Amino acid sequence: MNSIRATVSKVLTYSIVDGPGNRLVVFLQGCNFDCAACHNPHTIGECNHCGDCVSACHADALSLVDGKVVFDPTNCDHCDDCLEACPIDANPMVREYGVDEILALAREHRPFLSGITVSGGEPTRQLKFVVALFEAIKADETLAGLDCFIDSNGSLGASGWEVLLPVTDGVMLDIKSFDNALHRDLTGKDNAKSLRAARLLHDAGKLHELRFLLVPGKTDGDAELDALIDFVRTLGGDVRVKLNAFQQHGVRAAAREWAPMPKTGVDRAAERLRAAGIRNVVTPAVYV
Amino acid sequence: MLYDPETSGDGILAMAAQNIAACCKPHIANHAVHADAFDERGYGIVSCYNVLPLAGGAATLTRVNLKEVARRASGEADFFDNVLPRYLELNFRLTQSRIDYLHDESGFFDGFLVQEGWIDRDRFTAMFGVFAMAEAVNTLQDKEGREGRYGFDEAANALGHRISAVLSEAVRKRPMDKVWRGRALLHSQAGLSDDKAATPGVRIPYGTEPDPVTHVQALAPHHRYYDAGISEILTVDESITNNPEALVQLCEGAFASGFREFTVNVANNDLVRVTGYMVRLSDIRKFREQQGSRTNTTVLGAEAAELTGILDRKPRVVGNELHPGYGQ
Repeated sequence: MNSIRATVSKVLTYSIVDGPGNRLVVFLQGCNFDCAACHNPHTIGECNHCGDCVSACHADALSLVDGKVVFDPTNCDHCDDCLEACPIDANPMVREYGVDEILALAREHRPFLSGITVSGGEPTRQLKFVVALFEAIKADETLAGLDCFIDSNGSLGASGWEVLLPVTDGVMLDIKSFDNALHRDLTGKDNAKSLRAARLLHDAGKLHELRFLLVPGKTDGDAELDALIDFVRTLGGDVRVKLNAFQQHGVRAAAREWAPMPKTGVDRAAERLRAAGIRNVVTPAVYV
Repeated sequence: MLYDPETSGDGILAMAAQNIAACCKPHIANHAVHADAFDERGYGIVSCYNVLPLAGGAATLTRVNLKEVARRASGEADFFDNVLPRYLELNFRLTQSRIDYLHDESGFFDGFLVQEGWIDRDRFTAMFGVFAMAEAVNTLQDKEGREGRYGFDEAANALGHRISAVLSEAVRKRPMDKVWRGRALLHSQAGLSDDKAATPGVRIPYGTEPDPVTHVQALAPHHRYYDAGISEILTVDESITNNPEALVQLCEGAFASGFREFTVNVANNDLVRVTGYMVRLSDIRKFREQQGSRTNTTVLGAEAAELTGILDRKPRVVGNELHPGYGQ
């Protein structure tokens, strides 16, 4: 059987916000963007076994064995002090999963599932695992009918998508900003790859949803919204555009100073998109 | 809505899901399972999930408070061997005397409903109701020195399923006079407003439910025992209004797992999931209100007290999302 393993931050067997229907979601650890607005910053880094978290753990769930951080989930009381202590936004509680283990979970919950989504982190950084997982799902008769989705920042290059797309049913892609300087400011990286990926996925008929995070005073201005409108227009077709609202919850210190995005602002942005002829605009069902 | 995957089709279930997202209705029942429990004249579902023979009804609904039964038992063995049989017997006697009254003394069946053929006195059953299964199981778990809680722990859930099996067996074995098919029907009863600290039927206590899928998986094995209906509410957060396919999938999964019926409650919930993370609306509100005064220890103390109360509540949608680590 397949021996490729993935570093996984978390697995959910019930999710109604990670693609169509109810989905099994595998959050893969590690991201090549470094977004201040990230609401799961502990999924960004990859553990370098420095051991700082071991002394922060009061429950005796972490130890250093032969220079490696080892996690014992039976002792953990979920205080998350280790995440606070980690200097590189990693997570000592990650688990390794093989394809077979995810398949077993999918079979167990099959009657409740519409599909499976890999998220993160940036899941395409563990490309081989994602391909192996999706191939295995497609090949498994007991899992027939489950579709395979990816939640991505779009940083994967064309050759990577070429491998991935034949086994992928849809991608939810985030564009953080259309102004490249602002994109660098928000993510630490250029936006060219993400924009290219959006076009490539759309042309392949696999762009399920284009996501845009509205941050007050940063990405909710007319220039950004008009750039979004232009981009969606040049893609053509009926692209589903999901507007998300920045919230402070879970973000790191730098972004805690930013104002949360109010519903009125999201509605204004949605109205601007709709007035420009973009019909399929989705806004959050819930604001916090 | 009586749903039958063989005949209803996906379209009407999708329409029902849209309705549920808007207003938490309709209540959905598994027609195939119910139809099997009744005869060719059929059944109807009324009021609080009471499933009864069509053209008939229930002479009475009596209730056994399982929490009280468990409290009076010294442990699991005493519960099954002595205390539960004693209270079941008392409740059978109560049920029979109420049936007798309705048929022999009340005059109910002398009226036009019977005379004109609207109802048939032979199609009246009796509902043998139970409630507070959750507290009963947790009480017995405590008495046996086991930590697992109802709804979350496999052994605790299995104990609950065993209790339902024993109840069902007792009801099926016990002949009753003047009721449809000569037996009462077991019913998981939704509770009355004065049931203090007793959870309706076999439900998981409100506010402590796991996510809806775990919820269904924990309770599904009960459903086959409760021919006269089982009061069940699944709570999902408002995010589902953007994704009604998820509701359809939940319904299909629940029925495939053996659920007889349920209501889905799309709650304007304190605990909501937004694009991949779970938040407490009250936490956020508090955080906003108290910015600038968070060094005030009185405020912190008050907050801690409140938070402690809040933290007793479990997210009903996805557990541990406020603890973003490996929180399983």
